[in-house]
Amino acid sequence: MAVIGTFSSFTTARLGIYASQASLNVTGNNIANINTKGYTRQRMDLVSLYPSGAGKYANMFDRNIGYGVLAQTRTQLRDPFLDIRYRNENTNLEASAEKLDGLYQLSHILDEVGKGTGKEEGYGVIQARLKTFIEALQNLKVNVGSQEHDALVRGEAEALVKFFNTTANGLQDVYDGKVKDFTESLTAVNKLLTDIRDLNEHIRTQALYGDNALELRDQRNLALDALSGYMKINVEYSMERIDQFTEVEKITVTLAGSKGPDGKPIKLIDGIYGGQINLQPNEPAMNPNYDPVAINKEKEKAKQDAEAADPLKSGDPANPTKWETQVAQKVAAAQAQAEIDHDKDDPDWIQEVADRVAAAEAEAEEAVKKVTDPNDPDLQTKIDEAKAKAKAETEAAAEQERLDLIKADVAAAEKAAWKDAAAERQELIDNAVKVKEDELIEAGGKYIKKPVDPNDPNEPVKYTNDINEAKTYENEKFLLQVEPLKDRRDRLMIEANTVSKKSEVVELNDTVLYGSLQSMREMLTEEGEYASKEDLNKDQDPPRLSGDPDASTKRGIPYYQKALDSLAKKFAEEFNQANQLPATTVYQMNQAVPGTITGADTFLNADGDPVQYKDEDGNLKDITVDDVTKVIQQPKLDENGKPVLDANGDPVMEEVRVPYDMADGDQYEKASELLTLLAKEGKKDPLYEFYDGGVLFSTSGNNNNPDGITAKNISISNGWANNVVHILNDKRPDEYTNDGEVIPGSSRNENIQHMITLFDKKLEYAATDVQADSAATDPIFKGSFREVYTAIGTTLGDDESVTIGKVENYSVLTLDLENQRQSVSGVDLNDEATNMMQFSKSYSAACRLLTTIDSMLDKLINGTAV
Amino acid sequence: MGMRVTTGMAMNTYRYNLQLSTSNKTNSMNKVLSHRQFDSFSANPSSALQAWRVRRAMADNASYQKNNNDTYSRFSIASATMGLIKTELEKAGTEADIRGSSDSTASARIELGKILKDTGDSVIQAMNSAKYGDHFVFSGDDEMNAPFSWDGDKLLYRGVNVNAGLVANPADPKNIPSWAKDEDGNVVGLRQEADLPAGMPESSEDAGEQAWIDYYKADKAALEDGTARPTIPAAPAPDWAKDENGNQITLELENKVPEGMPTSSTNDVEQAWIDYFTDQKKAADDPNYTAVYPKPSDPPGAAWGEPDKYGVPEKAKDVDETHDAYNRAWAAYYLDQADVQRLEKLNGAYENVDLGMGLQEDENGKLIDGTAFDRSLPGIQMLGYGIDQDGDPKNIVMIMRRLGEIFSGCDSETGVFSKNEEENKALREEADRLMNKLKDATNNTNRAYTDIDTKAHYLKENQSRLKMQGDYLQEERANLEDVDLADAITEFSWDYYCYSAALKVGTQLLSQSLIDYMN
Repeated sequence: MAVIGTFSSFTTARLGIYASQASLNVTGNNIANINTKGYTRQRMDLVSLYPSGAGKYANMFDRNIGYGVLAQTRTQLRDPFLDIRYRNENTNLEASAEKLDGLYQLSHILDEVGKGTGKEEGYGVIQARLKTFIEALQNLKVNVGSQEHDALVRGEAEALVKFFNTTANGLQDVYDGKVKDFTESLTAVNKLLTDIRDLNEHIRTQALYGDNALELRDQRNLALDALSGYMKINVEYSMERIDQFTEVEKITVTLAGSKGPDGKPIKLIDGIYGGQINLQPNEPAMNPNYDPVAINKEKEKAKQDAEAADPLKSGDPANPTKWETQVAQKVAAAQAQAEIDHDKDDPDWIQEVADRVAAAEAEAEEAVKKVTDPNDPDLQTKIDEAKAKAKAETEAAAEQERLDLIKADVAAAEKAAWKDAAAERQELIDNAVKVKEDELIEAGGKYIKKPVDPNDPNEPVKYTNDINEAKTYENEKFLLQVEPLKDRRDRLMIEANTVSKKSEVVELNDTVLYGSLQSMREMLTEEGEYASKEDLNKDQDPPRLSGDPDASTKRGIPYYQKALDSLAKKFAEEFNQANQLPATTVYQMNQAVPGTITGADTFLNADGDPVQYKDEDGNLKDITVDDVTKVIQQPKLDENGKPVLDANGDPVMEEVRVPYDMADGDQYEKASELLTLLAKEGKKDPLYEFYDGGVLFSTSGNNNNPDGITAKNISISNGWANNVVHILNDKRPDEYTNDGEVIPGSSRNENIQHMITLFDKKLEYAATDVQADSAATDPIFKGSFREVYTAIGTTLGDDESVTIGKVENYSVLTLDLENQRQSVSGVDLNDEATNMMQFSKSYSAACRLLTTIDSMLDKLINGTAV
Repeated sequence: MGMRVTTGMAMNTYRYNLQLSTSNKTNSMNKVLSHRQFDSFSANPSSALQAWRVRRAMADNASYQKNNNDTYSRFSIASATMGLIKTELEKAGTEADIRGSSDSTASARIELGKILKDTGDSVIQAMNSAKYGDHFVFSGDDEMNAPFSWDGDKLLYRGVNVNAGLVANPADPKNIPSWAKDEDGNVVGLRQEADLPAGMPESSEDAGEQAWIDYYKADKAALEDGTARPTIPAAPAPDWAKDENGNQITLELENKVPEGMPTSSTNDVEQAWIDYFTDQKKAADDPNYTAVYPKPSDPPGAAWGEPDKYGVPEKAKDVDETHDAYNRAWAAYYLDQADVQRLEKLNGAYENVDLGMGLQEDENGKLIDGTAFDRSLPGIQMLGYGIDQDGDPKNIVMIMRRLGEIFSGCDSETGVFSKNEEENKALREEADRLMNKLKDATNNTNRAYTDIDTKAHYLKENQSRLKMQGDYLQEERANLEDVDLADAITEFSWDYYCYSAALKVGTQLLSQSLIDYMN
């Protein structure tokens, strides 16, 4: 029999009661939290209390018996591997679900299957409008020249462009909504990151006090689950050494599959340090208000004003300019100085002259002596005369030389003075221009916005006026970065294994993320086939952060916007072209060489004067052939429409004049306006008196400019709306009788037929039509207008259909994994009921033990040896 | 041991599946209500795509049917009108056969003349009154205006003379007057002849006089041939061989216009030749005068300015009666030829409609032949236009009108075409010729009628083809888009049943646990 204290058995019974009580409490807690989200089933770990070692006086026959049970610790039932799998699937699910959400929103706008009302049921919206537009044209065709039918066609066209506008605006709304979603998601992600970091700290603190903080862990797991929906993460558990005796658990959250600048996965959370995810500052961006042309104009004007206000020379001696006065003063001073420098009475000069005189006299004497007989009595007289003459000549020459020197000095001084004056004036003018520029910059708004101080925290976007500095790529707008990891008190983390290297910003590239955040980014940025070489990271050294080699197969909102723009643009382009004849064919011209069209020829109005327009500066100018047409080289065709070849088999080229097209940009815009003016004022060739064509679709109802048409801005042109332009029935010249009268052709409608045919014409749509830097070289679509619109819908539908499949698949997998997790960690009522019964029974048993021991002791104390 | 199934798991799974049942039930309900198999691209991308294609084809088909109906109506009207004209022509033809024969009476001929003229008029009226709504069927591509009109005796089609081509081409050798050309058809020059003395007799019994006669004849021949002239006879010269001063007459060569040239002509071309030779002679006679009058067969060329698109030079338009014959002849020719071209163009007017024959344009924007239906019916195509090689009108109305004139102009007593024998003969020949041509023209018109009728028939057939195609497309659309109601309802019933079952399971799921049995 063990040697224990008489009352030790009471302790055993008491521990049993305690253990059952504690276990029942845990069971109660489990049942209470059965509906708590994220709650992990707990268990009371019981250990048997057992005395170790032998007692000092232990009898060799003693047997050690346990002293009862200890309720040691509460633990959770959780499988970390299932967490990993669940979070991976959750990332997949959320990535697909988010994409599907975007596609759904797009399909509400673009998917016309089953749409349409009344007679048009099932014919869609834009599709139906295209159909009714053809019908209106068919009606006009059989009622050629009817104003009512022309107006009906216009009405249909108006409805069609309005639907284009509505659709484009709808897409823009989806885009704007997604931007909002994206920023809200970023806020949510950052809150999660903060929560996880803070929970880490709490758990760590609790751990130091020996508590395993199970409820906090549940919260952290919930936050990690939520985070895994936004992005694919890796969670690693490790031990952190606090001191020689203490270690606590810490978790590190990294972006799965990422590689930071140090080659290691990018950290989001490291123990008590956590980062935030923000948009990369989009800097510098091109200053939206910067207008170099306007600025240069203003500067040029300021320069001219300054020049006019301060002329160099007046040309009027009575009214000298300040520069003339200044120069005159300098010249006078120089004159005075020169007089002094070359003073007649300067002893040196007197000596110099005397020397020259002496030399000249000697020379003269020698000369006389040479030619005169030495015995000549007049020898001396001759010598004296010659010497006197030499002296006078030398003195005169010296004086002239002195005067010349003075003159040269003065001339040089005058030249220098003018140079100085000009430089000084230029400086003043430059100054005036600079002042003007500064004024404009200060004024901001209209011309230029002063580049913002890069250190100003209140200015989120930094502007530049230099295009080379500006980020010009749309998809860079949504690039993200991980901010430096900080603790709750904003102290930067020191990188592991370094002495003092502080955590830094890590810029994320276009493809590193995966999850709902990335799906949103892609929805906002991906252009599919419209992607540029830069977007695809082709030939980019170093690679661009925003580049993605797969960009051409990812289609977000911008893709659908561009595809719709493509369609609207092509539609407008084809109809505008169909509705026009070259101005040189239709209008009468004043030709320099009769019968030959030259660029400088002008168009005539009804009075036989040139038709004029006002240029930007308000000056009246004649409309010339060059204003409305350009010269191109094209292969010469024979009667059968085949190219004519030269001796080498190369096509013979010829110069032809053609109207400007969209590729000519501003010139096209100008030409379109001038053509509308010509339609109003120009005098038509008698054979084209019927001509009432012109631009049908423009960028706004207020103009006739077809350049830059998009689905959002496509409108009925001003000319068409105001009846200046109509649908052109026919392009063939009129026939006329011998009396010069036109033979009426009231039902000529070849051109209307052509327009109807356009609807079924297979046209090619190049990506570069709407996205100049697009890398795609092959046409994106080929087909009729209606086919292309269907193709846009089909692309969306296919993507949607695939994504629906993915979402369903991932939903099932996620549900399955969640169930597996629940299988381990979930509370089950039957389980807990069993536990309840079990612990209730053990509690009773312990109590019974106590009673038994009590009666045993009673017997021993009161009933023994009595 | 199996997997531990907790209360939460059961709830999660239940929620997911209940959601699925609800969604299935809603989808199948929508199918029943909308009768559509899918209502988005994503629901069935390939069927949706196909359905759009079919819908496009349906819309096109509706438009083809409308076009076809419209065109058919026009052709029906055209066909009816042409049928009417055919009957009229046949009647007139029979009359002409009976009454126009050579032995018919004067009154019969005059009556026939009237009948022919009236028939011509009524043909024109019929053509002008063939209308489809406001549209004149036979006006080519000017449907808002009547095709034919009269300008005096001239029949105009859309303002252009249908008899264009009648004016002679001055450059054509056959239009050079016979007196102005030699046997080979070449234009002759001025003749140089010597005139024999005025009073010289043909012959004389007096040997001396005969010698003089022979002498002059030989001298004339020698002069004209340029050979050695004979010697003067020894005999004294007779009186006729002397001039008024008593000197012997010497023969001299003189310039002469071509033989047979009349002094004037109503024909501008002939008059131009007369003017030409007269001018040539003047220049030959007077060394100080240079000939100015152009050869009528030479076109005026650049002097008349730039030709317009019909080839009419600028100046031709200003020529009027005050100008000389050369100008008149050429101007008239140019203007007439312009009309010929216009008629060609008006005859070639086209108006293409899309009847579902695969309308397509080539890369230059021109319609590819055979892909569209040309529905224009220029009236001159049916009635003929221009002039044939005999210079007779080809237009049936103009033939009848001319015949009418000839017959109406018959002598009311004798029935001859003209009392002048030669004229009578010419008119009879013309009448015979025209009677034959009337038959040909009638045949032509009948052919046009048959052609229109055939096309009308084609249109009718095309109509049923299009309708059939439309029905087929409708069926195809229905196959693609519409649900089979029986299937849809069955599917809905099943989904609803599943949904109800799911609900029922839900109530069971939450019911019992061990706790319920604990005391």
